Amino acid sequence: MGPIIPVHGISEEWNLLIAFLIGLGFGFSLEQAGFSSSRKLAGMFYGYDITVLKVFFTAAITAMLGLIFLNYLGWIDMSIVYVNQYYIQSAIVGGVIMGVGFIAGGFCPGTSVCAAAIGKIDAMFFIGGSLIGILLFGETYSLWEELYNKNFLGSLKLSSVLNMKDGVLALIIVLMAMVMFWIGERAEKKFGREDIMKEV
Amino acid sequence: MKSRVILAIILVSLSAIAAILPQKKNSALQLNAEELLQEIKLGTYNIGPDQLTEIIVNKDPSYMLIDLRPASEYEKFSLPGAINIPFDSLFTENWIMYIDQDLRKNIFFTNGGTLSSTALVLSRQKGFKNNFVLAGGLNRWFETVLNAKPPANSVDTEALKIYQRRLAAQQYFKGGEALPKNDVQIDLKPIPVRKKKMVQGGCS
Amino acid sequence: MNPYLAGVLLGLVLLASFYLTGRGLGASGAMKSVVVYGMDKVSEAHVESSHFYSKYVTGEENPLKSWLVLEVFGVLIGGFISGAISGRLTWKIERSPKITSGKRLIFAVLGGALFGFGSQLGRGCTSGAALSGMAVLSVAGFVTMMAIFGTAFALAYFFRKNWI
Repeated sequence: MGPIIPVHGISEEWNLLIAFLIGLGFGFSLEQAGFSSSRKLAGMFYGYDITVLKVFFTAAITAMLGLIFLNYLGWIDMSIVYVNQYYIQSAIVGGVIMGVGFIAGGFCPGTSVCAAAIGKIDAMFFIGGSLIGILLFGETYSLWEELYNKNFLGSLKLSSVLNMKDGVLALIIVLMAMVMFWIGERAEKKFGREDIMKEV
Repeated sequence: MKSRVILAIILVSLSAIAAILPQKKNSALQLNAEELLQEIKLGTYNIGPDQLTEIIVNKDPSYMLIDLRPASEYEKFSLPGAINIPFDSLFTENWIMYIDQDLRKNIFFTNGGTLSSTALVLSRQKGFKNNFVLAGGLNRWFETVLNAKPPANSVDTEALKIYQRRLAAQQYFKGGEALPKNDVQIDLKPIPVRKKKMVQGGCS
Repeated sequence: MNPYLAGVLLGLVLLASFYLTGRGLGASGAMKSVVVYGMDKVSEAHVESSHFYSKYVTGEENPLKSWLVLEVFGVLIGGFISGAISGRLTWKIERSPKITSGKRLIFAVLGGALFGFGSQLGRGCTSGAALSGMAVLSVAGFVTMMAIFGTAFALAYFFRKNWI
Protein backbone atom coordinates (compact mmCIF):
# COMPACT_ATOMS: atom_id res chain seq x y z
CA MET A 1 0.00 0.00 0.00
CA GLY A 2 1.37 3.37 -0.93
CA PRO A 3 2.77 5.89 -0.22
CA ILE A 4 5.55 3.40 0.17
CA ILE A 5 8.04 5.21 2.35
CA PRO A 6 5.73 6.54 5.06
CA VAL A 7 3.67 3.34 5.29
CA HIS A 8 6.55 0.90 5.44
CA GLY A 9 8.59 3.13 7.69
CA ILE A 10 11.52 3.18 5.32
CA SER A 11 14.53 5.10 6.49
CA GLU A 12 15.07 8.74 5.72
CA GLU A 13 18.15 8.02 3.62
CA TRP A 14 16.08 6.15 1.07
CA ASN A 15 13.59 8.99 1.09
CA LEU A 16 16.36 11.43 0.21
CA LEU A 17 17.67 9.18 -2.52
CA ILE A 18 14.22 8.93 -4.03
CA ALA A 19 13.96 12.71 -3.78
CA PHE A 20 17.09 13.03 -5.85
CA LEU A 21 15.84 10.57 -8.46
CA ILE A 22 12.48 12.28 -8.65
CA GLY A 23 14.31 15.53 -9.10
CA LEU A 24 16.26 14.01 -11.96
CA GLY A 25 13.02 13.06 -13.65
CA PHE A 26 11.54 16.44 -12.90
CA GLY A 27 14.48 18.37 -14.29
CA PHE A 28 14.72 16.17 -17.31
CA SER A 29 11.04 16.49 -18.21
CA LEU A 30 11.08 20.24 -17.61
CA GLU A 31 14.04 20.75 -19.84
CA GLN A 32 12.69 18.46 -22.53
CA ALA A 33 9.49 20.46 -22.45
CA GLY A 34 11.57 23.53 -23.14
CA PHE A 35 10.98 25.19 -19.81
CA SER A 36 14.58 26.17 -19.53
CA SER A 37 13.85 29.23 -21.62
CA SER A 38 12.35 32.33 -20.05
CA ARG A 39 11.12 33.61 -23.36
CA LYS A 40 9.22 30.38 -23.91
CA LEU A 41 7.72 30.57 -20.46
CA ALA A 42 6.66 34.16 -20.91
CA GLY A 43 5.18 33.24 -24.26
CA MET A 44 2.06 31.97 -22.60
CA PHE A 45 1.14 35.45 -21.47
CA TYR A 46 1.50 36.93 -24.94
CA GLY A 47 0.00 34.09 -26.86
CA TYR A 48 2.93 33.11 -29.00
CA ASP A 49 3.82 29.97 -27.10
CA ILE A 50 1.44 28.11 -24.84
CA THR A 51 3.77 25.26 -24.02
CA VAL A 52 3.50 26.15 -20.34
CA LEU A 53 -0.25 25.69 -20.43
CA LYS A 54 -0.03 22.35 -22.19
CA VAL A 55 2.69 20.84 -20.06
CA PHE A 56 1.40 22.19 -16.77
CA PHE A 57 -2.15 21.06 -17.12
CA THR A 58 -1.33 17.77 -18.78
CA ALA A 59 1.03 16.97 -15.91
CA ALA A 60 -1.50 17.95 -13.26
CA ILE A 61 -4.25 15.94 -14.96
CA THR A 62 -2.04 12.88 -15.41
CA ALA A 63 -1.06 12.84 -11.76
CA MET A 64 -4.61 13.61 -10.67
CA LEU A 65 -6.11 10.73 -12.64
CA GLY A 66 -3.25 8.49 -11.59
CA LEU A 67 -3.98 9.13 -7.93
CA ILE A 68 -7.68 8.47 -8.40
CA PHE A 69 -7.01 5.15 -10.10
CA LEU A 70 -4.39 4.12 -7.56
CA ASN A 71 -6.87 4.91 -4.83
CA TYR A 72 -9.56 2.83 -6.50
CA LEU A 73 -7.19 -0.12 -6.82
CA GLY A 74 -6.48 0.15 -3.12
CA TRP A 75 -2.80 0.84 -3.75
CA ILE A 76 -2.52 4.15 -1.97
CA ASP A 77 -3.76 5.62 1.27
CA MET A 78 -4.78 9.12 0.29
CA SER A 79 -5.08 10.29 3.87
CA ILE A 80 -1.29 10.18 4.15
CA VAL A 81 -0.60 12.08 0.94
CA TYR A 82 0.20 15.72 1.53
CA VAL A 83 -2.57 18.11 0.58
CA ASN A 84 -1.53 21.74 0.58
CA GLN A 85 -2.76 23.57 3.63
CA TYR A 86 -5.43 26.19 3.27
CA TYR A 87 -4.31 29.64 4.37
CA ILE A 88 -6.39 31.61 1.97
CA GLN A 89 -5.14 35.14 2.52
CA SER A 90 -1.45 34.44 2.38
CA ALA A 91 -2.04 32.14 -0.59
CA ILE A 92 -3.68 34.93 -2.59
CA VAL A 93 -1.24 37.66 -1.61
CA GLY A 94 1.72 35.37 -2.13
CA GLY A 95 0.31 34.27 -5.45
CA VAL A 96 -0.11 37.81 -6.70
CA ILE A 97 3.44 38.72 -5.72
CA MET A 98 4.69 35.60 -7.43
CA GLY A 99 2.72 36.52 -10.51
CA VAL A 100 4.55 39.81 -10.75
CA GLY A 101 7.81 38.02 -10.24
CA PHE A 102 6.92 35.54 -12.94
CA ILE A 103 6.20 38.07 -15.63
CA ALA A 104 9.10 40.31 -14.64
CA GLY A 105 11.70 37.63 -14.23
CA GLY A 106 10.35 35.07 -16.62
CA PHE A 107 10.95 32.10 -14.38
CA CYS A 108 9.62 30.22 -11.43
CA PRO A 109 11.99 28.49 -8.99
CA GLY A 110 11.81 25.05 -10.59
CA THR A 111 12.37 26.23 -14.14
CA SER A 112 15.07 28.65 -13.08
CA VAL A 113 17.16 25.82 -11.66
CA CYS A 114 16.57 23.86 -14.83
CA ALA A 115 17.59 26.78 -17.02
CA ALA A 116 20.61 27.59 -14.92
CA ALA A 117 21.72 24.01 -15.42
CA ILE A 118 22.02 24.55 -19.15
CA GLY A 119 23.79 27.85 -18.89
CA LYS A 120 21.14 30.54 -18.89
CA ILE A 121 22.66 33.45 -17.09
CA ASP A 122 19.37 35.22 -16.53
CA ALA A 123 18.19 32.13 -14.67
CA MET A 124 21.19 32.28 -12.39
CA PHE A 125 20.42 35.88 -11.58
CA PHE A 126 16.83 34.88 -10.94
CA ILE A 127 17.95 32.28 -8.43
CA GLY A 128 20.14 34.85 -6.74
CA GLY A 129 17.19 37.18 -6.60
CA SER A 130 15.02 34.46 -5.08
CA LEU A 131 17.49 33.92 -2.29
CA ILE A 132 17.47 37.63 -1.59
CA GLY A 133 13.69 37.67 -1.64
CA ILE A 134 13.47 34.82 0.83
CA LEU A 135 16.00 36.53 3.04
CA LEU A 136 13.92 39.68 2.90
CA PHE A 137 10.87 37.74 3.94
CA GLY A 138 12.67 36.13 6.82
CA GLU A 139 14.02 39.42 8.10
CA THR A 140 10.70 41.21 7.91
CA TYR A 141 8.70 38.19 9.00
CA SER A 142 7.23 39.87 12.04
CA LEU A 143 5.42 42.26 9.72
CA TRP A 144 3.76 39.41 7.85
CA GLU A 145 3.39 36.83 10.57
CA GLU A 146 -0.23 37.55 11.18
CA LEU A 147 -1.15 37.44 7.52
CA TYR A 148 0.90 34.30 7.09
CA ASN A 149 -1.09 32.42 9.69
CA LYS A 150 -4.56 33.72 9.00
CA ASN A 151 -7.63 31.69 8.06
CA PHE A 152 -6.24 28.23 8.51
CA LEU A 153 -8.62 25.48 7.42
CA GLY A 154 -6.30 22.52 7.24
CA SER A 155 -5.84 20.31 4.22
CA LEU A 156 -8.91 21.32 2.32
CA LYS A 157 -9.72 19.56 -0.93
CA LEU A 158 -11.77 21.21 -3.63
CA SER A 159 -13.91 18.10 -4.02
CA SER A 160 -15.01 18.43 -0.38
CA VAL A 161 -15.82 22.10 -0.74
CA LEU A 162 -17.88 21.51 -3.87
CA ASN A 163 -19.29 18.32 -2.36
CA MET A 164 -18.51 16.05 -5.29
CA LYS A 165 -16.43 12.95 -5.83
CA ASP A 166 -12.77 13.37 -6.71
CA GLY A 167 -13.36 11.65 -10.02
CA VAL A 168 -16.19 13.96 -11.03
CA LEU A 169 -14.07 17.02 -10.26
CA ALA A 170 -11.24 15.51 -12.28
CA LEU A 171 -13.55 15.08 -15.25
CA ILE A 172 -14.61 18.71 -15.02
CA ILE A 173 -11.01 19.84 -14.83
CA VAL A 174 -10.06 17.70 -17.82
CA LEU A 175 -12.88 19.17 -19.89
CA MET A 176 -11.88 22.68 -18.86
CA ALA A 177 -8.31 21.93 -19.79
CA MET A 178 -9.41 20.70 -23.21
CA VAL A 179 -11.18 23.98 -23.78
CA MET A 180 -8.12 25.91 -22.67
CA PHE A 181 -5.87 23.90 -24.94
CA TRP A 182 -8.13 24.55 -27.87
CA ILE A 183 -8.29 28.29 -27.20
CA GLY A 184 -4.56 28.34 -26.63
CA GLU A 185 -3.76 26.64 -29.90
CA ARG A 186 -5.94 29.13 -31.74
CA ALA A 187 -4.10 31.95 -29.97
CA GLU A 188 -0.76 30.49 -30.99
CA LYS A 189 -1.78 30.61 -34.60
CA LYS A 190 -2.98 34.16 -34.26
CA PHE A 191 -0.22 35.63 -32.14
CA GLY A 192 2.54 33.39 -33.32
CA ARG A 193 5.95 34.94 -33.52
CA GLU A 194 8.26 33.07 -35.83
CA ASP A 195 11.18 35.27 -34.92
CA ILE A 196 11.01 34.32 -31.28
CA MET A 197 10.17 30.68 -31.85
CA LYS A 198 13.29 30.25 -33.89
CA GLU A 199 15.44 31.37 -31.00
CA VAL A 200 13.93 29.46 -28.11
CA MET B 1 -3.33 16.88 -35.42
CA LYS B 2 -4.18 13.21 -35.17
CA SER B 3 -2.07 12.62 -32.06
CA ARG B 4 -3.72 15.48 -30.21
CA VAL B 5 -7.17 14.11 -30.90
CA ILE B 6 -6.08 10.69 -29.67
CA LEU B 7 -4.62 12.17 -26.51
CA ALA B 8 -7.76 14.19 -25.91
CA ILE B 9 -9.95 11.13 -26.31
CA ILE B 10 -7.78 9.11 -23.97
CA LEU B 11 -7.78 11.77 -21.28
CA VAL B 12 -11.50 12.40 -21.46
CA SER B 13 -12.31 8.68 -21.38
CA LEU B 14 -10.01 8.09 -18.43
CA SER B 15 -11.53 10.94 -16.49
CA ALA B 16 -15.03 9.78 -17.37
CA ILE B 17 -14.14 6.41 -15.89
CA ALA B 18 -12.65 8.12 -12.88
CA ALA B 19 -15.84 10.06 -12.40
CA ILE B 20 -17.90 6.90 -12.29
CA LEU B 21 -15.64 4.95 -9.95
CA PRO B 22 -16.76 4.80 -6.35
CA GLN B 23 -14.57 6.80 -4.02
CA LYS B 24 -12.74 4.53 -1.63
CA LYS B 25 -10.94 5.25 1.56
CA ASN B 26 -7.92 3.07 1.94
CA SER B 27 -6.17 2.76 5.23
CA ALA B 28 -2.54 1.88 5.45
CA LEU B 29 -3.32 0.09 8.70
CA GLN B 30 -5.27 -2.67 6.98
CA LEU B 31 -3.96 -6.14 7.72
CA ASN B 32 -3.25 -8.84 5.21
CA ALA B 33 -4.11 -12.53 5.53
CA GLU B 34 -0.86 -13.71 7.14
CA GLU B 35 -0.87 -11.04 9.81
CA LEU B 36 -4.49 -11.80 10.58
CA LEU B 37 -3.86 -15.53 10.87
CA GLN B 38 -1.00 -14.91 13.25
CA GLU B 39 -3.18 -12.81 15.52
CA ILE B 40 -5.93 -15.42 15.54
CA LYS B 41 -3.47 -18.19 16.41
CA LEU B 42 -1.98 -16.22 19.25
CA GLY B 43 -5.36 -15.15 20.55
CA THR B 44 -3.94 -11.67 20.91
CA TYR B 45 -7.32 -10.11 21.33
CA ASN B 46 -9.03 -12.77 23.41
CA ILE B 47 -10.39 -12.15 26.87
CA GLY B 48 -10.83 -14.96 29.34
CA PRO B 49 -13.83 -15.35 31.66
CA ASP B 50 -11.89 -14.32 34.78
CA GLN B 51 -10.61 -11.19 33.11
CA LEU B 52 -14.15 -10.26 32.19
CA THR B 53 -15.23 -10.77 35.78
CA GLU B 54 -12.61 -8.33 37.00
CA ILE B 55 -13.57 -5.79 34.39
CA ILE B 56 -17.23 -5.93 35.37
CA VAL B 57 -16.55 -5.96 39.09
CA ASN B 58 -14.10 -3.06 38.89
CA LYS B 59 -16.54 -1.08 36.76
CA ASP B 60 -13.55 0.03 34.74
CA PRO B 61 -14.67 2.89 32.47
CA SER B 62 -11.92 2.24 29.98
CA TYR B 63 -13.77 -0.83 28.76
CA MET B 64 -16.98 -0.98 26.80
CA LEU B 65 -18.97 -4.21 26.63
CA ILE B 66 -20.69 -4.72 23.29
CA ASP B 67 -23.47 -7.28 22.96
CA LEU B 68 -23.65 -8.44 19.35
CA ARG B 69 -26.82 -10.48 19.72
CA PRO B 70 -30.20 -9.40 18.36
CA ALA B 71 -32.05 -6.77 20.40
CA SER B 72 -34.64 -9.26 21.73
CA GLU B 73 -31.94 -11.32 23.40
CA TYR B 74 -30.19 -8.22 24.70
CA GLU B 75 -33.37 -7.11 26.39
CA LYS B 76 -33.89 -10.43 28.12
CA PHE B 77 -30.43 -10.48 29.62
CA SER B 78 -27.07 -8.85 29.07
CA LEU B 79 -23.93 -8.02 30.98
CA PRO B 80 -24.10 -4.98 33.27
CA GLY B 81 -23.26 -1.81 31.37
CA ALA B 82 -23.24 -3.49 27.96
CA ILE B 83 -24.56 -1.75 24.86
CA ASN B 84 -26.29 -3.58 22.05
CA ILE B 85 -25.00 -3.46 18.47
CA PRO B 86 -26.55 -6.33 16.49
CA PHE B 87 -23.91 -8.06 14.39
CA ASP B 88 -25.30 -6.94 11.03
CA SER B 89 -25.15 -3.28 12.02
CA LEU B 90 -21.61 -3.40 13.34
CA PHE B 91 -19.84 -1.54 10.54
CA THR B 92 -22.68 0.70 9.44
CA GLU B 93 -22.51 4.46 9.65
CA ASN B 94 -24.43 4.63 12.92
CA TRP B 95 -22.22 2.32 14.89
CA ILE B 96 -18.79 2.32 13.27
CA MET B 97 -17.59 5.17 15.45
CA TYR B 98 -17.77 2.81 18.41
CA ILE B 99 -15.51 0.32 16.66
CA ASP B 100 -13.06 2.60 14.88
CA GLN B 101 -11.83 4.62 17.82
CA ASP B 102 -9.05 4.99 20.37
CA LEU B 103 -10.97 6.02 23.49
CA ARG B 104 -12.01 2.71 25.02
CA LYS B 105 -11.35 -0.97 24.69
CA ASN B 106 -14.39 -2.77 23.32
CA ILE B 107 -15.24 -6.34 24.27
CA PHE B 108 -17.47 -8.13 21.78
CA PHE B 109 -19.58 -10.96 23.12
CA THR B 110 -22.38 -13.29 22.05
CA ASN B 111 -23.80 -16.49 23.47
CA GLY B 112 -21.48 -19.05 21.95
CA GLY B 113 -18.67 -16.78 20.93
CA THR B 114 -18.42 -17.65 17.24
CA LEU B 115 -20.10 -14.55 15.87
CA SER B 116 -18.17 -12.26 18.17
CA SER B 117 -14.91 -13.87 17.06
CA THR B 118 -15.90 -13.22 13.48
CA ALA B 119 -16.65 -9.60 14.32
CA LEU B 120 -13.22 -9.27 15.87
CA VAL B 121 -11.48 -10.70 12.84
CA LEU B 122 -13.36 -8.30 10.57
CA SER B 123 -12.44 -5.29 12.65
CA ARG B 124 -8.79 -6.39 12.81
CA GLN B 125 -8.78 -6.75 9.04
CA LYS B 126 -9.78 -3.13 8.78
CA GLY B 127 -6.94 -2.23 11.07
CA PHE B 128 -9.09 -1.11 14.00
CA LYS B 129 -7.36 -1.47 17.30
CA ASN B 130 -8.97 -1.58 20.73
CA ASN B 131 -11.49 -4.33 19.99
CA PHE B 132 -11.39 -7.60 21.93
CA VAL B 133 -13.57 -10.68 22.16
CA LEU B 134 -14.88 -12.72 25.06
CA ALA B 135 -13.54 -16.12 24.12
CA GLY B 136 -16.27 -18.74 24.35
CA GLY B 137 -18.99 -16.13 24.77
CA LEU B 138 -21.50 -15.84 27.56
CA ASN B 139 -21.93 -19.59 27.72
CA ARG B 140 -18.34 -20.20 28.71
CA TRP B 141 -18.40 -17.33 31.15
CA PHE B 142 -21.47 -18.72 32.90
CA GLU B 143 -19.93 -22.17 33.08
CA THR B 144 -16.57 -21.01 34.33
CA VAL B 145 -17.51 -18.29 36.73
CA LEU B 146 -21.14 -18.41 37.70
CA ASN B 147 -21.19 -22.21 37.89
CA ALA B 148 -17.64 -22.53 39.09
CA LYS B 149 -16.52 -25.99 40.18
CA PRO B 150 -13.99 -26.36 42.92
CA PRO B 151 -10.51 -27.28 41.63
CA ALA B 152 -9.82 -31.00 41.33
CA ASN B 153 -6.51 -30.68 43.10
CA SER B 154 -7.23 -28.96 46.41
CA VAL B 155 -3.55 -28.29 47.11
CA ASP B 156 -3.13 -26.03 44.09
CA THR B 157 -3.29 -22.60 45.78
CA GLU B 158 -3.48 -20.67 42.54
CA ALA B 159 -6.50 -22.62 41.34
CA LEU B 160 -8.04 -22.27 44.79
CA LYS B 161 -7.62 -18.53 44.74
CA ILE B 162 -9.30 -18.32 41.35
CA TYR B 163 -12.16 -20.52 42.53
CA GLN B 164 -12.73 -18.39 45.62
CA ARG B 165 -12.71 -15.26 43.51
CA ARG B 166 -15.36 -16.81 41.29
CA LEU B 167 -17.48 -17.67 44.31
CA ALA B 168 -17.24 -14.09 45.46
CA ALA B 169 -18.21 -12.94 42.00
CA GLN B 170 -21.30 -15.08 42.13
CA GLN B 171 -22.34 -13.34 45.29
CA TYR B 172 -21.67 -10.00 43.64
CA PHE B 173 -23.81 -10.80 40.65
CA LYS B 174 -26.62 -12.07 42.81
CA GLY B 175 -26.79 -8.62 44.31
CA GLY B 176 -24.15 -8.71 46.98
CA GLU B 177 -21.80 -5.96 47.99
CA ALA B 178 -19.00 -4.66 45.87
CA LEU B 179 -15.96 -6.86 45.86
CA PRO B 180 -12.56 -5.72 47.09
CA LYS B 181 -10.06 -5.19 44.38
CA ASN B 182 -8.26 -8.32 43.37
CA ASP B 183 -4.60 -8.50 42.66
CA VAL B 184 -5.29 -10.63 39.62
CA GLN B 185 -3.88 -8.88 36.60
CA ILE B 186 -6.23 -8.05 33.79
CA ASP B 187 -3.61 -8.51 31.16
CA LEU B 188 -5.05 -6.32 28.45
CA LYS B 189 -2.33 -3.97 27.42
CA PRO B 190 -3.66 -0.63 26.31
CA ILE B 191 -2.75 -0.59 22.70
CA PRO B 192 -1.84 2.87 21.46
CA VAL B 193 -3.33 3.69 18.11
CA ARG B 194 -0.52 3.88 15.62
CA LYS B 195 -0.67 7.45 14.47
CA LYS B 196 -0.15 7.86 10.76
CA LYS B 197 2.94 9.98 10.48
CA MET B 198 2.00 13.08 8.54
CA VAL B 199 4.02 13.72 5.44
CA GLN B 200 5.54 17.15 5.01
CA GLY B 201 5.03 18.80 1.74
CA GLY B 202 4.68 22.00 -0.20
CA CYS B 203 7.21 24.62 0.61
CA SER B 204 8.77 23.22 3.76
CA MET C 1 9.60 16.96 -27.37
CA ASN C 2 5.90 17.32 -27.95
CA PRO C 3 4.60 19.44 -25.05
CA TYR C 4 1.73 17.10 -24.32
CA LEU C 5 4.08 14.18 -24.14
CA ALA C 6 6.40 16.11 -21.88
CA GLY C 7 3.39 16.93 -19.74
CA VAL C 8 2.48 13.28 -19.40
CA LEU C 9 6.07 12.47 -18.52
CA LEU C 10 6.14 15.18 -15.89
CA GLY C 11 2.80 13.96 -14.59
CA LEU C 12 4.16 10.45 -14.21
CA VAL C 13 7.18 11.76 -12.30
CA LEU C 14 4.79 13.65 -10.02
CA LEU C 15 2.65 10.55 -9.57
CA ALA C 16 5.71 8.48 -8.72
CA SER C 17 6.64 11.06 -6.13
CA PHE C 18 3.23 10.80 -4.49
CA TYR C 19 3.20 7.02 -4.61
CA LEU C 20 6.70 6.60 -3.24
CA THR C 21 6.93 9.39 -0.72
CA GLY C 22 3.47 10.83 -0.23
CA ARG C 23 4.51 14.29 -1.27
CA GLY C 24 4.60 16.23 -4.48
CA LEU C 25 7.35 18.24 -6.11
CA GLY C 26 8.72 21.56 -5.00
CA ALA C 27 11.48 24.07 -5.51
CA SER C 28 11.08 27.20 -3.43
CA GLY C 29 11.44 25.20 -0.23
CA ALA C 30 14.92 24.17 -1.22
CA MET C 31 15.92 27.78 -1.73
CA LYS C 32 14.53 28.56 1.67
CA SER C 33 16.69 25.79 3.15
CA VAL C 34 19.73 27.37 1.53
CA VAL C 35 18.90 30.74 3.04
CA VAL C 36 18.29 29.20 6.46
CA TYR C 37 21.55 27.29 6.26
CA GLY C 38 23.47 30.39 5.32
CA MET C 39 21.81 32.43 8.02
CA ASP C 40 22.62 29.76 10.56
CA LYS C 41 26.27 29.91 9.61
CA VAL C 42 26.35 33.66 9.88
CA SER C 43 24.50 34.03 13.15
CA GLU C 44 22.94 31.18 15.11
CA ALA C 45 21.46 33.50 17.67
CA HIS C 46 19.59 35.38 15.02
CA VAL C 47 18.13 32.18 13.63
CA GLU C 48 16.95 31.04 17.02
CA SER C 49 15.29 34.29 17.87
CA SER C 50 13.48 34.57 14.58
CA HIS C 51 10.00 33.12 14.43
CA PHE C 52 10.53 32.27 10.83
CA TYR C 53 13.98 30.72 10.63
CA SER C 54 13.72 28.82 13.88
CA LYS C 55 11.03 26.59 12.45
CA TYR C 56 13.48 25.10 10.02
CA VAL C 57 16.49 24.60 12.23
CA THR C 58 16.24 21.52 14.42
CA GLY C 59 19.65 21.87 15.95
CA GLU C 60 21.02 18.54 14.87
CA GLU C 61 20.16 18.03 11.27
CA ASN C 62 21.75 20.17 8.64
CA PRO C 63 18.92 22.16 7.02
CA LEU C 64 20.38 21.19 3.69
CA LYS C 65 19.68 17.54 4.36
CA SER C 66 16.07 17.97 3.34
CA TRP C 67 13.87 16.27 0.79
CA LEU C 68 13.46 19.38 -1.31
CA VAL C 69 17.12 20.29 -1.40
CA LEU C 70 18.01 16.90 -2.76
CA GLU C 71 15.14 17.04 -5.19
CA VAL C 72 16.25 20.40 -6.54
CA PHE C 73 19.77 19.08 -6.81
CA GLY C 74 18.29 16.34 -8.96
CA VAL C 75 16.50 18.94 -11.05
CA LEU C 76 19.81 20.63 -11.67
CA ILE C 77 21.45 17.44 -12.85
CA GLY C 78 18.38 16.25 -14.75
CA GLY C 79 18.08 19.53 -16.58
CA PHE C 80 21.74 19.42 -17.42
CA ILE C 81 21.52 15.91 -18.81
CA SER C 82 18.51 16.79 -20.89
CA GLY C 83 20.19 19.90 -22.21
CA ALA C 84 23.32 17.97 -22.97
CA ILE C 85 21.67 15.27 -24.99
CA SER C 86 19.53 17.78 -26.85
CA GLY C 87 22.40 20.07 -27.64
CA ARG C 88 21.01 23.01 -25.72
CA LEU C 89 23.97 23.68 -23.49
CA THR C 90 25.04 27.26 -24.06
CA TRP C 91 25.70 30.38 -22.03
CA LYS C 92 22.94 32.81 -22.82
CA ILE C 93 20.93 35.69 -21.55
CA GLU C 94 17.47 35.44 -22.98
CA ARG C 95 15.68 38.64 -23.75
CA SER C 96 13.79 40.56 -26.32
CA PRO C 97 16.05 42.57 -28.65
CA LYS C 98 14.29 45.69 -27.40
CA ILE C 99 16.09 45.77 -24.06
CA THR C 100 19.69 45.38 -23.07
CA SER C 101 21.23 42.39 -21.36
CA GLY C 102 21.90 44.46 -18.31
CA LYS C 103 18.31 45.47 -18.02
CA ARG C 104 17.21 41.89 -18.43
CA LEU C 105 19.45 40.77 -15.63
CA ILE C 106 18.13 43.47 -13.35
CA PHE C 107 14.61 42.34 -14.07
CA ALA C 108 15.68 38.78 -13.43
CA VAL C 109 16.94 39.67 -9.99
CA LEU C 110 13.86 41.74 -9.19
CA GLY C 111 11.56 39.04 -10.48
CA GLY C 112 13.45 36.49 -8.46
CA ALA C 113 13.22 38.56 -5.32
CA LEU C 114 9.50 38.99 -5.76
CA PHE C 115 9.05 35.32 -6.47
CA GLY C 116 11.16 34.31 -3.50
CA PHE C 117 9.22 36.58 -1.21
CA GLY C 118 5.87 35.55 -2.63
CA SER C 119 6.67 31.85 -2.48
CA GLN C 120 7.22 32.03 1.26
CA LEU C 121 3.99 33.88 1.81
CA GLY C 122 2.10 31.60 -0.52
CA ARG C 123 3.64 28.47 0.92
CA GLY C 124 4.89 27.17 -2.36
CA CYS C 125 5.74 28.02 -5.93
CA THR C 126 4.27 26.79 -9.20
CA SER C 127 5.71 23.31 -8.70
CA GLY C 128 4.90 22.79 -5.07
CA ALA C 129 1.65 24.65 -4.63
CA ALA C 130 0.14 24.95 -8.07
CA LEU C 131 1.18 21.74 -9.80
CA SER C 132 1.27 19.30 -6.89
CA GLY C 133 -1.61 21.09 -5.22
CA MET C 134 -3.80 20.70 -8.27
CA ALA C 135 -2.95 17.02 -8.56
CA VAL C 136 -4.33 16.38 -5.07
CA LEU C 137 -7.25 18.75 -5.64
CA SER C 138 -6.18 21.08 -2.86
CA VAL C 139 -8.08 24.34 -2.67
CA ALA C 140 -4.95 26.23 -1.66
CA GLY C 141 -3.22 24.84 -4.74
CA PHE C 142 -5.89 26.07 -7.09
CA VAL C 143 -6.09 29.46 -5.45
CA THR C 144 -2.33 30.00 -5.53
CA MET C 145 -2.18 28.90 -9.15
CA MET C 146 -4.93 31.25 -10.23
CA ALA C 147 -3.33 34.10 -8.33
CA ILE C 148 0.05 33.53 -9.99
CA PHE C 149 -1.14 33.10 -13.54
CA GLY C 150 -3.91 35.64 -13.26
CA THR C 151 -1.56 38.32 -12.05
CA ALA C 152 1.02 37.50 -14.68
CA PHE C 153 -1.60 37.72 -17.42
CA ALA C 154 -2.91 40.98 -16.06
CA LEU C 155 0.51 42.60 -15.96
CA ALA C 156 1.83 41.05 -19.15
CA TYR C 157 1.16 44.21 -21.11
CA PHE C 158 3.47 46.27 -18.92
CA PHE C 159 6.38 43.90 -19.32
CA ARG C 160 5.98 43.17 -22.98
CA LYS C 161 9.17 44.90 -23.95
CA ASN C 162 11.16 42.35 -22.03
CA TRP C 163 9.96 39.50 -24.13
CA ILE C 164 8.43 40.47 -27.42
